[in-house]
Order: sequence, then structure tokens, then C-alpha cells
Amino acid sequence: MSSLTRLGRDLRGATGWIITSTVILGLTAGLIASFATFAFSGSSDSVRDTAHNLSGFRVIDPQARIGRDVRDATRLPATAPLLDALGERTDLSLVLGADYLTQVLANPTLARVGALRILISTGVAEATDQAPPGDTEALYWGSPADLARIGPTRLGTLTLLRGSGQAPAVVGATAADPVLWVSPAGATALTLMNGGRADELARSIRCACSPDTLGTLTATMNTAEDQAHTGRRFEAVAATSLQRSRSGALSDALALGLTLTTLIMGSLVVVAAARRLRERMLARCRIEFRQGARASALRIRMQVTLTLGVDLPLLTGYTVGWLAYLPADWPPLLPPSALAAPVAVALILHLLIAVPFSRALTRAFQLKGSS
Amino acid sequence: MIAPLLHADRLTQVYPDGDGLRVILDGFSLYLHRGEMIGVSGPSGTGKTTLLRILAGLSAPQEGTLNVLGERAHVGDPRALARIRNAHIGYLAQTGDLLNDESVGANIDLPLRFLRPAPSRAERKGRTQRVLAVVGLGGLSPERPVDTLSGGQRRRVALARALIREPDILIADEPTASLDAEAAAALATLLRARADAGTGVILASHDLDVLDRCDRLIRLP
Ligand SMILES: Nc1ncnc2c1ncn2[C@@H]1O[C@H](COP(=O)(O)OP(=O)(O)OP(=O)(O)O)[C@@H](O)[C@H]1O
Ligand SMILES: [Mg+2]
Repeated sequence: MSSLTRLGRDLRGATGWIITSTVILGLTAGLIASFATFAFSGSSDSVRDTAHNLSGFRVIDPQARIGRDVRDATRLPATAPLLDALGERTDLSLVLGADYLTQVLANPTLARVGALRILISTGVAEATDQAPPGDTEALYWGSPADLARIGPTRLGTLTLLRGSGQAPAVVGATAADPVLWVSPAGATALTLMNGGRADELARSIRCACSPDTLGTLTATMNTAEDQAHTGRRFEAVAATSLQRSRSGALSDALALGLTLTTLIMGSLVVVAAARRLRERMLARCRIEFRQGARASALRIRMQVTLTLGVDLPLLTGYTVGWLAYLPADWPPLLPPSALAAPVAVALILHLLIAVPFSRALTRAFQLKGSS
Repeated sequence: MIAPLLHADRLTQVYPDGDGLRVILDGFSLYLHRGEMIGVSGPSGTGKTTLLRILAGLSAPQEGTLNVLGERAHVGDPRALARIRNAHIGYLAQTGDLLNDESVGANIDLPLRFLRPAPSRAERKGRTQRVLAVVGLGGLSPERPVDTLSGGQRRRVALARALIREPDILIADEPTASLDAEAAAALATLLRARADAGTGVILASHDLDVLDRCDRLIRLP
């Protein structure tokens, strides 16, 4: 029997309990982290002063579906009314990052695309506090002086231009440089073609209007979701609040408290489970030591067992939790620094378990006491 | 002069007992020679197990030195004790100390697996079969889970494990406990035969038949 087999026996001794509990703990941590990610990504102080004349969607998905459901925008019931509105309303724009757009436009199948109003920015965050200034053929972020061509973007006879300056500018087409003008229906192709997530489509839309005005659209979208029983909701909110944490309501404190309680209780369960593991392993180590095993080898095996039995499930659970809840767009609770928490939690748990274990091993190896 | 297999020198062991102290060993010394079988007797709780564990290098008393085949170790030096123990001593614990969730074979060849260089699987198997036969369990499959064995079988498996490295010194704590008279006699014969073959044997026992076959008796008060 190799030491690998013996390691396997040590792990089996944990009867799956410790692994299960650490996965659950990790899921919870992932949930917190997903809050934290939404909380402060791209938030900046300059956004806060802006008037509420630009709005967007918050997607609330309590079941946080990932996989096909959300990966395929056609399965999102709200997609149809959303695309219809894009075709009818002039105050709606699709906001895409420059990188994303370059990638989209490099795709030759776009030639079939009709016309789409596009607001281009170097970063989505910057674009949100600027309303599309009017019913022009193309909207640009940046001054005309800064206009530059983007990569191989010729679509038929059209060329796309991008500005990089600070001030918004409206640029019309000239004979020399015609401006890309895609019909709103093209949004379908644009979004779906690039494997964009359905909720990203909604998140990419900005309305040069107040949240109330956009609310008529969300009502239609929510009706579509209701009919499909998805439980998913769209909320029209000021674009600025999409970037910031929700102001502290009681429910936030409650949610935070519950999550932290779950985390602490989970840690206790893991430590208790690890105690059982420790007793079993200790009995084994003692016998093996008496039969000639080297103390250092047993110590290393203990650490590896803990790493495989505690740290790995914890971090896996965390990652899965984080990915699973990521699309939910829940209101944020914690600052980004909290993202370091899972590693810290894994480390603390590891130490909580390993230190007494190691001391018990030392006692066993120092031959103190009897039996 | 023939060097002794084992020389324990002025071992002292004191346990706290309530408010006071309980002296188990007070400057205890012992020589064990090749081919010698020493019996340790005494009422329950007098310190037989304590003494045997110390002699086996498994437990450290407050004072004393252990000299095994010329290698000398102060009892406060666990590394040296471990080296001596692994090289020369087979120990049969009163409780057996078997890995209950493993097979007979895995338990018996455990000490071989920590040898460097490690013996091949075939060699381990062969030696396991041999010691199983020596302890009278030749018919027992090495694949049998240990927790399906009877108490007497378990003791013999533990003894087989103590013998597998062919130790110079065999220390057995109540080897015949939980065996019937016939099996006990067979085991006593076996231990005597080991001693006659040159192994130094120290055993603790309440069994008069076993003590009868010893060359020397130590009675703990
Ligand atoms: N770690 C310890 N701390 C305190 N007292 C101990 C310790 N280990 C053993 N003792 C005491 O030392 C005494 C001797 O114990 P030991 O196990 O050596 O007895 P024994 O002669 O083997 O008895 P038995 O015949 O029942 O096996 C007992 O009174 C026991 O309670
Ligand atoms: Mg005893």
C-alpha cells in the first residue's frame, strides 16, 4: 500500500462530511463575493453628481440561472419586447465597450446587419452618465478631433469611427467616412452572435430618459418573464445607481448578518467535522509511528489531507458559488477588499484544524504519557 | 563477556496521583541477553505496561538510559529511541494497536512499508505468510478485514506484526490474554522457541504457564 493509498484512507475517514460542509461554506462565501463584485465594480465618484436623465436596467434573477438559459438570449422571455423597443424608441441605445465592438464588427456576417444606433465608449462606466444627445445617425464619445478608425471595420461601404476624447460629440456621416448606421433589429444579431449573455443585453442598454419613462418598457418585459414563470425581474433605475451600492436599507443589514452567521456556523461545522477526522487520523498516525513511520512523513501527510479535505473543497465551493450567483445582479453588500476573504477563511480554517492536530502529533511522537 | 541485547539503566517513572506522586519505577535497571526470556508479573496497575513501553522505546520516563546492542540512548531523545526501536525491537501492545479498517496483511506488513529501501510487494507477501504460519494462523487469508477476527486471532495478528522485522528483542504485553488455555500454551511455546533461537524476550503476564517458561522473573510490587 503506497502512501497515496494511505492518504486516500485518511480522506475516506472524513466520510464526505467535512467535504460537503466545506463546499457549502464555500458556496456561501461565493455568494458574498458576488455581492461584493457588483457593489463596486467601476464605481466612481464623478458618476454620483449626474442628473437622473439616463437610465438602465437592473436584472434581478433570484434563481441565478447560468448555463444555456442565460447564455442563449433567445431563451430570455424579455428579449423580444426589448428588441422591439430598440427598434421603436429613439432614446434607447446599446452601449458597448470598444473592445467588444471591434470584435463584433470584425465579423463579416455583420454585413447582413441592417442599422443600429451605437454609443461607443472606451469604457462603459464613462458612457453611462452621458445621455445620447439627440436623434442623430450616429453617436460618439469623444471630440471629432480625436476620431480614429477602428481596425478592419469596413462593412460594405461603411466605416466606423471612434473618439477617445472626454467631451461627447455627435458626428454625422461624410462622403469620405460614412458612419455605421445599423437598424435596431440588428441588435439581435449583434448580441447573439458573440455569445453575449442575455442579461448582458439588458445591461448594455441605456435610455436617454428618466427611470420612470423606461419603466413602461420594463413592465412589458416583466410581463413576458411572468408568463414564462422565470421569476426574473427587470427594474428601471437611474444609470448612476447601477454603479453604486444600494443605500443602506434594513434588509441589507439583515442579509449581511444572515450571511455572516451562516459563514460562522459553517466554519464551526467544518471545524467539528475536522475534529473527527483528526481523531481518526491521530489514532492511525500513532500506530504507524510505532511501527516505524517517520514523524516528518506523517506530518506532511496530515497537511496534504487537510489541504485536499478542507482547503480545496472550500475554494472550489467558493468559486462555484461565485460563478453561480454572478448573473443575479443582487445589490452589493461588501467592499471589494472582501474578495480576499475566501483565501483568508481557508487559511484560518486550515490553521484552526492543523495547529491542534500538529500539537497532538508532537505529543504522540514525543512519547509522553502512556498507551 | 557477552554484550547484553538490552541494558536499561536507572529508569525512573513517577506519575502525578491526586495531590501526591506515584512512583512506578525508581532507578530500575535490567539486562536482557540473547536467548533469554524474562517474565514481568505483578498485580494489575503496578506498572508492567509502563515498564515494557519504556523498554521498547515507546514511552519516555523521567530518567534513565536505554542501551540496545551497543546503541545508547537517553530516554529523553525520541529520535534515538525511534531508531533503536525500529531497528531492533518488536512490540506487542496490550491493546493490540491494529488498524481496524484494514486487512490482516496490511496490518502485518505495516512495519515493512516504512523500511528504506522498501521491500517489494512479493517479499512483503512472502514474509507475511511466513509470520502468519509462525503464529499459527497459516490458514487465515491476508485479505481478511481485521475487524472480522476474534480477539485471540487479533492478538496473534498483532504478534505476527511484532515478529515481521525479525527483531532482536521481542517485548510482549500480556500476549496470552484473551486466548483459551490451548492457544495460550501454543503461544507460550512459540515465544520460548523464539527465545531459544536467540531472540531476547520480555513479556508481562498473569498466566502462570507462561511465566513458568521464563528464565527469569521480575515481580513488580
Ligand atoms: N499517563 C499516565 N498518567 C498517570 N498515571 C498513569 C499514566 N499511565 C499509567 N498510569 C498509572 O500507572 C500505573 C501503572 O499502569 P500500567 O498500565 O503500567 O499497569 P499494568 O501493571 O500494566 O496493569 P495491568 O495488569 O492492568 O495491565 C497505573 O496505576 C496507571 O493508572
Ligand atoms: Mg498492562
